[in-house]
Amino acid sequence: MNKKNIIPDRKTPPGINPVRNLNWYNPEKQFLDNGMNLYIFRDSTLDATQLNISFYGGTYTEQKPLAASTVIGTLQEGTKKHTAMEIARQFDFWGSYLKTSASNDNLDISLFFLNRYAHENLELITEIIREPCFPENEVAIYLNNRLEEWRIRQEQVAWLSRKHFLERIFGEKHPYGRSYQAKDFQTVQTDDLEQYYRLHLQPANGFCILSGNITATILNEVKNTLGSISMPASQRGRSIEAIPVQSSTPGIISIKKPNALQTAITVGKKLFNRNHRDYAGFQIMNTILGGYFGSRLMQNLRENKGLTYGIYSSLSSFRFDGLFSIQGEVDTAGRDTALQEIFYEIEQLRKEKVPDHELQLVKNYHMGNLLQAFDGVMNKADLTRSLLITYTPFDYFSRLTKEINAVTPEKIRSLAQKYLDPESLTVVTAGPK
Amino acid sequence: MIHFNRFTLDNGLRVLVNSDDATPLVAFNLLYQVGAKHENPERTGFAHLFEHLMFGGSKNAKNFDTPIQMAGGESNAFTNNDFTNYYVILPKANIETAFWLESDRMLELDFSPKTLEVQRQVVIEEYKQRYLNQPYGDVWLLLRPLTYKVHPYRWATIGKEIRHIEKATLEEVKQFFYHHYAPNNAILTLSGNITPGEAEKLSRKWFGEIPARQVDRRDIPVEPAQKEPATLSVRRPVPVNAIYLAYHIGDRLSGDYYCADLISDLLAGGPSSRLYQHLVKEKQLFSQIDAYITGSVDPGLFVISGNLNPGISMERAEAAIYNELYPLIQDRLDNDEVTAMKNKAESAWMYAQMHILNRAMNLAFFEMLGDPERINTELESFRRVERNDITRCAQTMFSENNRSILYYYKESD
Repeated sequence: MNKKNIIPDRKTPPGINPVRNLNWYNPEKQFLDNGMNLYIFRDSTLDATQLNISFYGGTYTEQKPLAASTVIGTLQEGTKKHTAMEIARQFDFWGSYLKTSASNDNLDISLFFLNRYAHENLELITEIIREPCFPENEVAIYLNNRLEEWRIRQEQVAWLSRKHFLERIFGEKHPYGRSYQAKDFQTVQTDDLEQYYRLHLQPANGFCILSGNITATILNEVKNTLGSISMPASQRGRSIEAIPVQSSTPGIISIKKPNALQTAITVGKKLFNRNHRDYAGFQIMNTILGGYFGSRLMQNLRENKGLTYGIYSSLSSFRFDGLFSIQGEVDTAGRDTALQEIFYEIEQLRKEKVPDHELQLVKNYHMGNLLQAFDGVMNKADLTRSLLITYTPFDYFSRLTKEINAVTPEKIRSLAQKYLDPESLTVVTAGPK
Repeated sequence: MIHFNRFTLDNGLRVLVNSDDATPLVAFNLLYQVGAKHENPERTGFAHLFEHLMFGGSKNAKNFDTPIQMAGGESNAFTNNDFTNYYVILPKANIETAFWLESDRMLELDFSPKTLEVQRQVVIEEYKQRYLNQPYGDVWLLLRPLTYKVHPYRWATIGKEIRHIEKATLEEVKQFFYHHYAPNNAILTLSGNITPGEAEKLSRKWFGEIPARQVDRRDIPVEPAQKEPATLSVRRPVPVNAIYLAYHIGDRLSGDYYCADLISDLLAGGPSSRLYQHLVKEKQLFSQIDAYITGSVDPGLFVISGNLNPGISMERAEAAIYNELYPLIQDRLDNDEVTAMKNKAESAWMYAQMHILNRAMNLAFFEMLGDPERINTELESFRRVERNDITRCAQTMFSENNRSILYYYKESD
């Protein structure tokens, strides 16, 4: 085959079609008999399933520090019928991957399994959720290992700066601001775990999402296993109360970490979550400031001044609040320059209108990013979980798309003026000086 | 089964296409067969520094990232000891933007002194952030020269020392480009919503006219067999003592690769694995333990690493690890354990292949190894491993003379 090469016109970039529509679709919804919501994303080309189970509450509702994460972290460490070792052996034998995690507002379980072992996996995961027994020696090992990890993290400037930042934003007693102390790893008891478990790991207080090749058999198994977990009537319809945040402390503090080779910087404030009317506009503004590689902070501090390997900003959504933060690790000699430039870029957003080209770019980038975030049923399951955690309706993405397209340079400037008053920001640095 | 089409342009560029119309995206992956192992020992860290410069603009595209972002895409790159890998993910309608930008920087990079100066600083900050200012961040800077004496795996991709990065000149940057960045030294893979016909048309259009170049292919010295155990002790400002054991294994194409990988899973691949159950759970000697292989193209390493619990001596921890290796050497494994690890390998592989970018990267990697069909036979290679293969592999690998140990002490001990 003899094909001649066409000589391309390299001076003219190929045409671009911005992403207009996202191929988001809502999951199928079913109810299990015990009141647990079940969501399904199907892909018949896979021979495997991902099961995500989440319970509302997270560390937000723990009475004793570490209770929530320890409950979820030791759930598979023994039930009334099986020891930790037997459970571990079985999941490993079927080639399954079980992960558990705790966040501010929720506890999550994810189980990836081969469909030929669906029945076995569903039975065992149900048993773990229905009748864990938190054996004392297993809990002690778990807490010891977490403490050792915690001691290593104390040495990281990025972690130190983030920890002090959260304390100043939400207060050290508030669940979003609290950080654990070494002694907490010794004080949490089995009773605390059982109490947390009874209150929060109840079917009607959670939901599950299935993604993959969800056959009728698998669906039936789910109904017979997860759907059969009963709950005491007294636990139905619990709601989580918002805990008021005492006022945040703006201004600068420096945490000393002698001999550190870099200084970590965190700048930001308490804001709102994705259900707020200014969320979409703020997200676009955040992307311009520090939300992607082409952002102003990245271009200024990294690509022009070489002060850092990376600096980013983000707006995180919690159930009851949101958090805006800028973070990076910089050359210590350049710390003051870095801070000055961060505030310069914020000031620019408050003073000047964003050029149309830059705004268009960020909108396009955002849409492309969402398209990627939706790709595949398991990604869709992850997004669904994050929406459910913040009580966000599924029409969120179509609303977001409309709102992103409607953002104007004037809107960006007014949002920056409204929310990014430098006086309202908290700054924490952690490093040698 | 992953279907793909393969063709080669006249200038030597190999192109592989995996079409999948279930996604609205295309992953575009360009692998250059140059990594840290091709560097001059006096100028280490160069391949990685160069990767940064590749984003500094090219002859006709002054900026690489902006057009990608405008097209709704994302791009990044990584360098390892064997190769440098660039990728772009774009909505299918905009995939030509990746062809334009990647072919333009393959044709001629914009060698700007300003880019070199800034990226040199960025890489120095990366060096500090990831290797020097992290607890245990320098482990690989220490382990590599301990385990490799001759082969260039003896230095890390970030470079032996910051000084090498400080010394790089623009002239060296140009030399490096023309000796390594060439269509005949690259592999382009596409995975996602693109037909083989479209891919071929676009590849010819944008890459077809780039001339083949004389590629600098120095022989890479072979690491001789280790003759005696090696050890190194260091003290660092960390809160917890740690130990790292490294054993030499075969290259990526040897059958031993699969055995060694399964052994790493048997030892630390899940909650029922031996090291975790016995040393973390039962004896509580470690707060964390891991076993893994480096997976490099040339003969690699099998590594066991663990963080010691307070009050546990290094000697006791080390002896306990050896104790866990004997059952493998003496063929005292449980058949269920072997089945478990094969099942785990299967689900991990299945999970990874769902993502178009992983498929594109794997296709490029296997093409570089000489056989892209391996993307479909890889799983079978794991399934074929028998218990006696594991025993044989463990016996060869876990010998004292094949071992290097890094004792990583906290300063207060």
